[in-house]
Parts: sequence; structure tokens; C-alpha cells
Amino acid sequence: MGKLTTILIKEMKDLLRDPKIVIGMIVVPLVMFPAMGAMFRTGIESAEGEIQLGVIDLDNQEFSKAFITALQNNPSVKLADLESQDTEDAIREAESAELKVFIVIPEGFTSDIEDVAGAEIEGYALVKGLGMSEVISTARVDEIIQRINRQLSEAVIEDQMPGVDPGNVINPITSRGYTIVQGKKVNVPPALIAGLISSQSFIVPVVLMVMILFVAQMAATSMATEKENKTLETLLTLPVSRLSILAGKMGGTAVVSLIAAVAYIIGFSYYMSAFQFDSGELPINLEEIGLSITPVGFILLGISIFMAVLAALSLAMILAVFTQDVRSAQSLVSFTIMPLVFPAMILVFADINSLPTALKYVLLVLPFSHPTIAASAVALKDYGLVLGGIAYLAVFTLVVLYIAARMFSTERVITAKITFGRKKAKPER
Amino acid sequence: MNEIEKGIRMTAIEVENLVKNYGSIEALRGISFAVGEGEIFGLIGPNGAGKTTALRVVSTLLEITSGTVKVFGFDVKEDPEEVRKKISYLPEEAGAYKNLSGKEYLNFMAQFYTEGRNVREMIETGILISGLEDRISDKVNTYSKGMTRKLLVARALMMEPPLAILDEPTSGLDVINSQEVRKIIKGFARKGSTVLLSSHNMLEVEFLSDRVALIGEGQILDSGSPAELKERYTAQNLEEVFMEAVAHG
Repeated sequence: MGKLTTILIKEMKDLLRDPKIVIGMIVVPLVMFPAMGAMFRTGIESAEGEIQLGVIDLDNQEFSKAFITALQNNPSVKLADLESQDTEDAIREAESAELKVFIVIPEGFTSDIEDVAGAEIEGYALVKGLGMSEVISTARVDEIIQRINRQLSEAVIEDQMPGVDPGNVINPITSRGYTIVQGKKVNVPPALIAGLISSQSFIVPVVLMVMILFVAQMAATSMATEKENKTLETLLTLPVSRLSILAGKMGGTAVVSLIAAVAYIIGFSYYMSAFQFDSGELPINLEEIGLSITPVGFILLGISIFMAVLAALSLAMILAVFTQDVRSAQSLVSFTIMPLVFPAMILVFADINSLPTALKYVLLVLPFSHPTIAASAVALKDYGLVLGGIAYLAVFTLVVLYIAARMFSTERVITAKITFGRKKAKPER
Repeated sequence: MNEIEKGIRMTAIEVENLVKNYGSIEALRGISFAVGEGEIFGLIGPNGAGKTTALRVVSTLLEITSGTVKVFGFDVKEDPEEVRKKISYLPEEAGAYKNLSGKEYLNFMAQFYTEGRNVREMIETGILISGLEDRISDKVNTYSKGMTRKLLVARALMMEPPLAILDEPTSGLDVINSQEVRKIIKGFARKGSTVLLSSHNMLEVEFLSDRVALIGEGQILDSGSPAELKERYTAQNLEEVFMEAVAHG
């Protein structure tokens, strides 16, 4: 077994046996996120089930009866007749019947509709908490009333304006949206295309941010642990090149970070899936409008992400060299890497070319923006921008790697020191 | 064979006018000493005298400000990788990988020095030296301080390096464990290996070393065999020798 492989395997073993890493970075995302998602889903589903709705009909005329019939015909409403004749009694009755929502149809409801004088109903929500299910139940009652409202409007229009399409009276203007993508006219509104692209361009920056932060934290932990546990000096006097030590540590860290990032992404996607509901079939697909990513695009995107991860690893190693313990290393890495990674999140909401010039150049200078820029650029087949980003990242990575290698081949790996809030220690003699 | 070649054959370590500065602090102020092959050479002096810095320079961890240091003829500045093939360094405050078992730790280290069946033999030697047969499969984080130190001593000696550099080898050990480790080091040197060690425990160094150098404030105050030094200063032990050397120095 090569010496590099020996270090790499040791590194993986050491990290994967650390309960803080295994529980905090692998088990928690795999268990916590899906569990949270399941809880949300349960809350939403319970709110989405049949709604128990109490009704007090003080009008008892044609339209109030029609309204109640419409509610009865709604499959997601279970109607409960309340006998109370005023609101105070109704609240007590609703509470004892454990109803969350009840409505009161006041006297004169039918005549107000007939006179087109604007009829009113009163809705009461008995909120016991501010949970998701309370909010959703109330919103769903509103939605049902809106639907009945439209039915009633249509009935009135049909009655008073025979031969006229009630839809045209309710909505006299309808808009039809078209989008021009790369010179092609697509019969869908831009919002829909933006939604489709964002699902693609959202994943890359989020995944990348998670990966880079994981990689950087793990690399810093691995390096600082050597210092904290006083194993670094021994390691550096072994008959193995310093570059192999650096490469072995980086490789082992990268593999474990990748496992942690995959765990995080799997857990997070389970969590997110709790909020996704059937949206029906999409009227377009990205391939037809030339926004799909080709195999070449995927390769370029992969190279860009790989370069960014390598840069993060090297940067974290350099930073960790200056610290004496794991906690300081993790703090220093977070303070340094976060400002380099976080601005790229802007690109989830805006294209690089639509940003103000100064901001655009700031993002282009930050190394970790480039994979995110590449994610939308490969969809638009703007390979020049992607290759430029890769070239920049390669130069940045080489410089950082060179500095890391230099630090490892000199005494600075032992003597470099940044102290947090403490007086600089005197060097040991 | 000319004089230089003869010197290389016979000398394991050659330190000449070694100066080491940390910024404006002078840790070593032009020290010189030589250690012959198969010799146990001890650096003694109080805390902060420069012992650890000297050992770290010989171990290729620290860079030289001026002067030269050669290990078996290889310059630590020019050929650090060759030097590392000849040495095994035990730092004073060393630790082992806590999430590995004692055996896994020895296995990891052995793979840098040999391969195949020899790795297993080297591990067996390490286990024997450590005296941790019953606990060798347990994780290092379950070991006491003494057990960890014995594991580290075993790691440093199991590969029978031409030169073992031991910084305070019995640091943190109780009397019984300290004696055991001293015996292990003595036995190791009898096989022909060279040992450079440091300690502030002068009685320990007197027991172990063929020759010693007294070091104080980054300078070598005197050197010789313990017997020579005791005679020179008409002292009972090295502690008295050191006090006299400081008073005269």
C-alpha cells in the first residue's frame, strides 16, 4: 500500500470514527431532516383532510339555502348545524363540538344578493394555537367560500344577463404570456420558465454551499485535530513527503465530506419533498426550448465544482495551520469561507449579467461563485463563461494549493499561530 | 577512506554552530556537539533551555537560522527527506490518534517503514515494547496517560531506527513505568542504534546516557560522560554538575 493511501485511509478511519462527525454531519441530517419533513407533512395532511364547518343560518332564504347546499356538496366539508341564534352562544357551541371554524349567514343575505347590494357572511376561526393546521383550515374555508362566491356570481349573471358568458363579466381581461428564450418563442409565461430554471439553478448553489462548508470544516477539523492531539509533529517526521501528507489528508477529508454532503442532501431533499404537492404536468420541457444541460455541460459543471471543492480544501488546510485547536480552526474557517461562499446565493435570484457592474465583478472575483454561474451558463450553452470560470478557479486553486504545500514543507506548519483573544504565547524552547 | 568519509561513518549527528531564532528570541545561540553511532547522548537542562528546539531541528521540524546539522551525513536543511528515513522522533507532548486502536496506530506507523509480512513483525515488536498486549485492540482514547506514552515509545522504537530522538521520554509516567521505559531505551541502544534524548530529569539522563551536554539559555555549558563531568566538577550527581556549570558559566 502506498504511503499516500496509508494516510488517506487513516484519515477516513479517524474522521468516520469521530462521534461528533458521524452524529453531527451524517446521522442528524439523515434522520432529523426527514423527521421534520414528516412532521410538517402530517400537520399539512391533517389540515387538508375533511373540514368540520359549523353554520348558523339566520337568513333561511333562497340564496342562504343554496349556499348551504353548495357547502354540503363540497366533498372536503363536513357541515355541522349549529342551533345557536347569536354569536356568543355559537362560540360556546362550536367549542363544545370541537369545531375549528364556523360561519354565520346573517338575515338579509338573500335579498342583498338579489339587489346586488353586496351580501356578507361572517367567518369565525377558533384558534387554539398558531400551528400550521389552524392557518391552513382557515385559508381553506376562505378558498371554499371564494369558489361558492363565483358560483353564485355566475348564477346571478346568467339570470340577469342571459346569453353572456359569466366568465367574461367576472374577468373582463385575461393575459396570455409568451417568453422568448434564445430567440425561440415559447407559449408559456416567463414565470413558469423561471420556475423551471430556478429548480435547476437553485440546487447547485445550495448543494455547493453545503459541500464547500462541509469540506472546509472537515479539513480544518482534520488538521487542527493533529495539532490539538499532538500528533502532527510525529507525522511530519515520518519518512513520507510532506506533499503526500497534505494530499492524503485532503483526499481522506474530501471523501468523508462527500459522504456527509450526500447525507445532508438526501436528508434535505426528503425534508423539501414534504412541501411538494402534485402540480400537474408541466406544459413544456427544458430540452424543447434548449435549456437542458448537455453531457459536455455536465462535465464542465463537474470540473467547476471539483475545482471549487479543491480550493476550499486547500484554503481550510492553510487556515487550520494557524490555529492550535479544533474550535479555533472551525471558527476561523467559518469566518473566512462563509463570506466567500454566501454571496453566490444572490445568483439564485438574479442572473450574473443582470446585476450592477460592481456586484457582478465582486461575484466574478469570488472563486466559489463560479460553479453557480456555470450552472445557469451550461443551461444557456454559454460555454465561454464556464471555461473562463474554470480557468480562473484553476489559477486560484493552484495558488492556494501552492501556498498550502509551501506551508507544509516549512516549519510554519508547526510554528504559525493565530490566537483568539489571548496574548500571543511565547515560543517553546 | 579520507578523514571526512571516516567521520561520516562514525558520527550519527554532527551539530555545528547551530543558531535558531524565533523572531527576536534566540532559542539556540551557536551550539555544537557530535553523537557517535550506537551512543546514547543526553541533553540536559532546565525548562526553556533550548533542548526541545535542538531536537526539533535535528528531526527536520524546524529550520536552521545558521550553522549546520547533519544526520548520518545528510544535511537536515538540504536533505530533510533522507534524514527522516534515518530517524524516529518522539515529541515530549505527543499524542496518538484517539479513534484508532493501539494496534491500528502501530500498523499505521509501521507502513511508512516496511511492507508486507515485515509490517506484522514490526507491530508485534511494538506490542511487546509497549507491554499493552491485553489492551492493544482497544481505542487509544480509552488509554491512561501512561499507557499512551508507552504506546508512543513503542512506536518510536519498534522500527529500530538508526537514530531515535526522544524528547523527555518518561514525561507523564509514574516511577514504575518510567523505569520500564528507561530499560527499553537501554536495551534498544545495545542493539546498535543511536539515541539522542533530552530531559530535565538529570538522574534519568545520568542513568541512560553515555555522554551528556549541559544546556542552558540556548548554549552548551559543558559536555562529557557523566563520570567525566562529575569528576570535573567534583560533584555527586549531574544535578550538582549542572548547578556548578551554571555558576561557573
